[in-house]
Amino acid sequence: MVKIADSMSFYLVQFLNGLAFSLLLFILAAGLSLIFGMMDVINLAHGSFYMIGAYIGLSVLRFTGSFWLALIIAPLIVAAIGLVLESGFLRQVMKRGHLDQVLLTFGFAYIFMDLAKWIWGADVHSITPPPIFQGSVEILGSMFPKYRLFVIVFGLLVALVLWLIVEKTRLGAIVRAGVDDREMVSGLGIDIDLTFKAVFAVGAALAGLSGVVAGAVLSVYPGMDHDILLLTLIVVVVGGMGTLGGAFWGSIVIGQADTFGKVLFPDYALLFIFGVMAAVLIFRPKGLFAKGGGG
Amino acid sequence: MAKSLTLEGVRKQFGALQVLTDVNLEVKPGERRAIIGPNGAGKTTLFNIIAGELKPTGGKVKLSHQEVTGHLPNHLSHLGVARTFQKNNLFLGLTVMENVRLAVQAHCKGISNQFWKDICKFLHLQERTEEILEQLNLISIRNIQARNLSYGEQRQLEIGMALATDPEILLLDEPTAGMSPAETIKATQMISQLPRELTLLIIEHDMEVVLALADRIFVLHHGKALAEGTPEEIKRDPKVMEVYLGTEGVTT
Amino acid sequence: MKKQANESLTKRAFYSPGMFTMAAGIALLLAYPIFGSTYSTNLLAEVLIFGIFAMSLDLLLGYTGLPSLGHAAFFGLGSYIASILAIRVDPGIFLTIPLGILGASLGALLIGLLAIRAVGVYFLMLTMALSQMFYAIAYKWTWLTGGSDGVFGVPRPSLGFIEINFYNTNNFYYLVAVMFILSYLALRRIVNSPFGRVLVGIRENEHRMRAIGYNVYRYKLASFVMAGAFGGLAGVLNSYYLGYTSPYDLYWVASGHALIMVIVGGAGTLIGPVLGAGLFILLQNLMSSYTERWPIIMGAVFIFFVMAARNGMYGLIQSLIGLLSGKWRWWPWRNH
Repeated sequence: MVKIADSMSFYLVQFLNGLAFSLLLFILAAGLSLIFGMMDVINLAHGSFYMIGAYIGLSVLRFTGSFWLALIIAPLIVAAIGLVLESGFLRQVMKRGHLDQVLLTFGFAYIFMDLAKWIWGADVHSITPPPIFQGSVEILGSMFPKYRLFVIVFGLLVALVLWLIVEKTRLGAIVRAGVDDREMVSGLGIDIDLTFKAVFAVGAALAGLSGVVAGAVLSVYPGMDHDILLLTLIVVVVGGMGTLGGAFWGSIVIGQADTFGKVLFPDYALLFIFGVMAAVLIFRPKGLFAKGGGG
Repeated sequence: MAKSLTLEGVRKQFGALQVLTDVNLEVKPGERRAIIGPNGAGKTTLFNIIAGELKPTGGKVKLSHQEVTGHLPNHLSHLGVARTFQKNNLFLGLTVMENVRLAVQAHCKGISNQFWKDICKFLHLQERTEEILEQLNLISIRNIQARNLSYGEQRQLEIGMALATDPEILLLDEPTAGMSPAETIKATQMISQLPRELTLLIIEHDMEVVLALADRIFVLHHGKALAEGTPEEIKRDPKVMEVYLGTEGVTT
Repeated sequence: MKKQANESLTKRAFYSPGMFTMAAGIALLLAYPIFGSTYSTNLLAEVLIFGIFAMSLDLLLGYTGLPSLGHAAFFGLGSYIASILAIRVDPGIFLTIPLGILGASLGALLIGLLAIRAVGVYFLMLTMALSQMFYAIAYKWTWLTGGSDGVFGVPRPSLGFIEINFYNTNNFYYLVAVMFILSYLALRRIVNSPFGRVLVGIRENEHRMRAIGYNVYRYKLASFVMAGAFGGLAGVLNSYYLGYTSPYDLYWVASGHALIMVIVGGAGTLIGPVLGAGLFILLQNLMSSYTERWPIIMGAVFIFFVMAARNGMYGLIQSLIGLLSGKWRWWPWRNH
């Protein structure tokens, strides 16, 4: 009896771990996926936004001592950086097709990473969670960090808010229409430039937000941008580009695969993820929930 | 030499939209068939199905009684099907000669697997390319990049590339679209001078071109066959007149 | 993917500038150690190694129009195979080079089969993700690859029974230079062959290529594997050069480096990417003695080329020569 309860609580803890990781990935993937679905833009600097968010969060925390301030300020700054990238550079290259977007955003990602190393150094840091979320709580006999519960709740909240915006607001309707048919939307007289800016800024902000939240669970280090970008891309490949649903379920699949992979096949966790990805692609080449995207 | 084309009960649906319904068509070898109909009638979709770009939702496509429904475009090309596109679909960054040569090369057995010999050394390929350039009156512009050609010249090249694949059935999708009256006459002349061993299907809006070239006409409307017959029969067909009345389609 | 082709094949005269420049270039490369310092000769060897790597990606990206962010996987495969063989079996290049190339080609076949069905962005993401599979293997299979430490202590190659000391900078340089020249000549033949012209056709208009009868998938796959093979060769040479291989060689950012070299140099020209590799390696080595921030400079240079000089260094040089000579339209300038 004890053994069953033990393994149940073990699996529950792992599931929750996976869920927390999934939701971090989701916040990232949502931004990337919507930017692609709406603007037909591949943003390889998305991982950089995540990293910058984490580092700025770190600094704000050091400077003000407030985790919550970091949570608010970091995404805003990242959104501003995103806007500069979009208006000053990406805009001109957007019409040239995906390759040039990839090249440009990769160039920026390359610069951002070294910039981060320059400003914050090459050491590994961690963001301290606010006191309320420090420590652990008991779940079915196992200890589970309170902060990760916060991540889960927060992540689900963000998912809910995003879902509400996309499904219930005018902006959301424009975004959904844009994912299906960009030309039609601009033909309807909607200021497509402004909408693009908004979508890109929100996407960047989401990445930055994820960075701050993740900074207390995963570490903050130069190279975190490239590592997370890879996972995020796998998520959108698996889930399908252009939809929130795709980003969500893709994150769940990959988050759980990663967590359970690490636990069950520690040496092959990453390979396990690739196996999952390859399997999905064989049966659903466009991902589980692909829609429109790339007009 | 020429192939016959048979369409049996061809249907095409895009989601809830029925683009083609129960299309039956029989084109004899060497025949010149024009396909006309108002915009949106489904003509290009029909071509796409014949050429393998689209799979029909139902029905069969047969080439000389061999069923080819759903075969891929490159396979159909080797069965003798060639097509042109409504919007020029050229290799804009390459010269006229290179455009034609690629088309010729596709049908020279084994050449494309050669990765070690310089292409200029394949004399047969070069000769055949020059031959076709001559035939199509493209020889004077052979070294010009396709993107720098005039629209009429591009349209000519468009047809030329299809011909260069040595087809047995040729699908021309609005070959004179966007051409000036003078260019249209030249193009019509060129098409009429094509060998009779070539089965021809032409989508056209310009009725003068249709009447000059077609043996038989097939009228498509809302994805369904409206009428079929010789130009004379079609001109007198009341259903056709009803559809075209008020539109700029009939310019006779 | 749209691409501005800078191609125009005109009939080649036997003594065309193309041939002449090439001969001069080869002569210069072979003569370099005579007047170059040990340091610069060594550096040039590194440039040539990455020149092969960049040219291999050019075949895929510049000529076939396939943008891959996973090309480092093949470089890494060649590198690891060579390193492991050199240490555990024999450092002879008659063993490591063929097996390194074979391994890289098989890896390319594997990834290609899965990725080439996808189009555009999906292809890019798939190459990136699938190549990281090899990165994961390199990282985790410590028993084979040394894990994050990598394989170190790789001896310089041997030519079997011929006694040459490749620890001598000049000797090693000549080995690399010869491999580079052979690679360049081979790639040049490939892109000018009928097969090569098919690749260009695919880049220019894949849709029409299908319509006129080409089995595009097969050619893309062949191009992918060939590119992988040459990438593997570069990897083999690099493992000897450094005496060591690390998982980072396989990381997707390394694929990004190759992309930078190709674009900055000038895609679709073979020589351009070599120039790009030169600039990259030079910046990396020379700049780093002045500032640790050379990636920012490289990134800025890269962005400049992407935005304002899309035809790369080679394109700029061409334009310059055109401007100076004033008769650029009639010069039988041969673009490779």
